[in-house]
Amino acid sequence: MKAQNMTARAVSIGTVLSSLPLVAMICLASPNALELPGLALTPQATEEKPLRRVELLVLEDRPNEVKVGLHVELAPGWYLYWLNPGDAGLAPEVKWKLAAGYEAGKPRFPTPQKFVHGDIVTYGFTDATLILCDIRRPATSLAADKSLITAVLGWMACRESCITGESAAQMNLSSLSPADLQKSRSVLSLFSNRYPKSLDPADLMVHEARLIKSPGRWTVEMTLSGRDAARVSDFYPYPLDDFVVDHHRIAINGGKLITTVEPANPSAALPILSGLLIIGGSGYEFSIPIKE
Amino acid sequence: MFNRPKGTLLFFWLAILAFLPAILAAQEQTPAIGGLAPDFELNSIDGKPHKLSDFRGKIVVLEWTNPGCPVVQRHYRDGLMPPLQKESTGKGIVWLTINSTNPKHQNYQTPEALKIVYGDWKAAFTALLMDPDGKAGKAFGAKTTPHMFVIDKAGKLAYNGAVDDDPQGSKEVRINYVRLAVDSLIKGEPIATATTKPYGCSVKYAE
Repeated sequence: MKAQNMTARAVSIGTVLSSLPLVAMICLASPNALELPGLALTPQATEEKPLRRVELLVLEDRPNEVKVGLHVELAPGWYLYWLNPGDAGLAPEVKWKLAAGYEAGKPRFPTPQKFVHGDIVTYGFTDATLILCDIRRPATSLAADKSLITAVLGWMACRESCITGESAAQMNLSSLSPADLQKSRSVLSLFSNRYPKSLDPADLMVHEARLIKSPGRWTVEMTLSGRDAARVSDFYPYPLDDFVVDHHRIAINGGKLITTVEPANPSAALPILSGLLIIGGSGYEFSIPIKE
Repeated sequence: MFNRPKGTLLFFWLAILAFLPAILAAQEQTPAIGGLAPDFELNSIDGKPHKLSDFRGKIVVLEWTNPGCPVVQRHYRDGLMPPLQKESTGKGIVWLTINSTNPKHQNYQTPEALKIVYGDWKAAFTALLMDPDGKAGKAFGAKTTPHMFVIDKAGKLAYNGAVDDDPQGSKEVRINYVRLAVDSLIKGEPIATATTKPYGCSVKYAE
């Protein structure tokens, strides 16, 4: 049998924490993060470590809000998926463990790369990514209230084959030093120009999103206009409820952006389409109501 | 006089050329819900040929699989797929599990090895079929493992998508789309959710 069983099966934190020697070994191997690579199923599994580092960085520590970044470094050849993985894969899922009253906002991802394997299109990151999140402190929180923030990342990473797992990283705000903040900001500077930008209507506009229905497959046709319209090379859609996007058939032609979707059922409603327009590798976020 | 037929012929070929991309695109198009499912004939891991159209008159579930994919492993090891297979075949449904992994991929396993793996997992499919050149997978537009298709008694595609609504495998209560689709077909009712986004590893087709 070939060495295909590379699964790092996800295990609960509780399961791992109950095994102190294992935790000690993991911490020694990775001082910046408490990684939970899961149970090895075969000897080969221990050699496969697609995520080289998972660390939680505090980017800003304000009285009412903490801005954090989950920094993930990947081993060569491996990739991690975007919030919309595309035709295959799994989006990373971040679960936060926070003190009472703290609230985590939506994660923000850098603009991903597009991977095309035949008819299968996926979106993700090679090398490294930094998932940003704003964590709101309760209004009653005192400046002295310094808490432990833990992020548990559920992930699927793929190279030729795929591995799933869970990795946890934590940061104690009470031990946060100026050097920590400095380091975090230097990591952020590597990614800062990769986050989606807002569309500037002076340069680019998306309008007249028209829905054309045919049995089982619907087409959304949008018109692009403005100085940068001709520079738009692609569209990376955000996930849609009740619809499956045919990523392979996304097309931009003559100022028209065409997206084909399959509805969950004929009465499914598609009120809005949103995602990133790609210009020169940068993502520009937009959202547009759809007219039938 | 002689120029007119030549001109007509030229016009004909120009028209063919103009519509060629659309013709090719239509040929590439995988079946939509309500469309006729493409036929295939594949050998099972026992070496027996199975032709999809031979099952006309029965409801058929197609399950794309790859035992090297952690999502497939979860569905078998956590006891999600085998009971669904058993329940479905118990209702008279034909359940064909299809492996489109290309023989050069590290996840490829021989029929003999697959027998052991799926035997250990207590799989209860009707047959496990080998699709090493990926033709059946591409004809259906199978993208992930697992990726599920349900075909009605008339041979038309009735469901295309995920097994359930739990990509991360973290939900206590899941909606099993395949069970709902099969039960609706048995009752003669419309399928409430006929298309969902499949999740899992990409099918390891030959490049």
